[in-house]
Amino acid sequence: MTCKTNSNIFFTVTFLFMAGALYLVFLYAPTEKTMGDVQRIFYFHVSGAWISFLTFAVTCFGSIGFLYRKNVKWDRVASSSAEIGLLFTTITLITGSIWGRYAWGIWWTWDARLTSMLVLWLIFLSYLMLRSYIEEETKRAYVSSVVGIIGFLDVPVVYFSIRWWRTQHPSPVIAGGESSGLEPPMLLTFMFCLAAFTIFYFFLLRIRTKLEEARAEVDFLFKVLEHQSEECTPPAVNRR
Amino acid sequence: MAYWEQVFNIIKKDITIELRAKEAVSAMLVFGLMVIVVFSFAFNLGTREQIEIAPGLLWIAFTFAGILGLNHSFAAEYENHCLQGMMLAPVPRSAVYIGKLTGNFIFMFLAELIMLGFFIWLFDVRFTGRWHLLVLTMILGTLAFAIIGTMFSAVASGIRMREFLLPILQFPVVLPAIIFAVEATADLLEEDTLAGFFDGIKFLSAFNIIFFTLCVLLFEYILED
Repeated sequence: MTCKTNSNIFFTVTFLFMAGALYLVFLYAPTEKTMGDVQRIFYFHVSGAWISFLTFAVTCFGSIGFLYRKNVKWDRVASSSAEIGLLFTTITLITGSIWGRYAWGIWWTWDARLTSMLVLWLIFLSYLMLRSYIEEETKRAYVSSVVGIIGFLDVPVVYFSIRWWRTQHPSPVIAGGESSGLEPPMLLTFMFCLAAFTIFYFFLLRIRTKLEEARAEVDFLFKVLEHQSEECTPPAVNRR
Repeated sequence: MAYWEQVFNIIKKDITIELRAKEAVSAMLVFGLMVIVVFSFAFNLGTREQIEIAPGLLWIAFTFAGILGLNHSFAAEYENHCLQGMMLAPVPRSAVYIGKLTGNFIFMFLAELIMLGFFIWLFDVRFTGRWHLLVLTMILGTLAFAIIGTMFSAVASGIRMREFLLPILQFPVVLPAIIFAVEATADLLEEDTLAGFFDGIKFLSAFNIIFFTLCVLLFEYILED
């Protein structure tokens, strides 16, 4: 099977799952009693938050992989994942803010989960900024791997530091204790939404990593051509 | 033993430079004072509010001043290829990190002590009988700042825009330590019991241990060329 058909299958599956998620969220899931329709944002909000942590776990994992294996492929996965993570974190912050405005009457509060999500967003924004300032690929990979690992491990610390301080965000509805739990149709919708987001994430990660590889390839060819036009001996660039 | 001798030599080098040039500490000190003065005008405070925001203000001054010193720390090594020399020397990278970290900590702490003096004079803050605890908080908070800061200072050193990059990288990561340093200082000022204070101290110590270990492990990769 060619790469092209693989991509098409992946795209179709992602599309179907996302469409299914939309159907379940807006038409299938029952309306919540106290909050009404606005509660439907929950499915996207919580899925987005979970995926944010997943993306950054992948970034941390890819960074460790790079430092261990010294192969830039790992770094490409890490940075691609961080970019997508920034997207999902932004979605989580925006949907959460809209929901908070409705449920609490305020856009923002300095609660543990909100703040740690914001800090996560800032850390990976700075991670991507750092990358954009370094041209040389290997150096960029080393430096940003280190920042990726430190940044990711900082997030739980931020979370606990602020929770110790004060918190307003509702405790987890899923697996958060005895009184927690969702109605079965809601749980189904949520689980489906989470699955759809996860597939969507891996779909994006695949495209993004391929793009990064293509870019490295172009860079490599460019260097080769440059050398040939100068009529030098074969280039000493290290192809990975 | 030889390892600590190498660490000590790097510290000695930094201290000698600082004693001759007197750049880092004085710059941090003056900048920190500016921050305190600007903030006190920006908030236009009465006496009671002063006490309430004092811990935060103090740590803002420490943080901003610290960033200035850290920016200087590895940037100075870049001039005249000092960093290259240090990398060529047969010294483990972690010794370089611990040496630079200690130097940064000493300079920051010195500047902070003098800032604290001015702060008490200007704001009439009283830490009756709790001086040793305040110094403990300052040591742990500054250490946290220096641990992360020395690391990111090295990260940012070889990169264009490094002056902007360092605070952007540093602040989110060091945020938990700042929260707890401020909380612990506030407890010293306002509370009668010290239970909350010791929670803050415990947290700061844990933060320092975790990130110190991590940075020592990761430092060798940063200066890889």
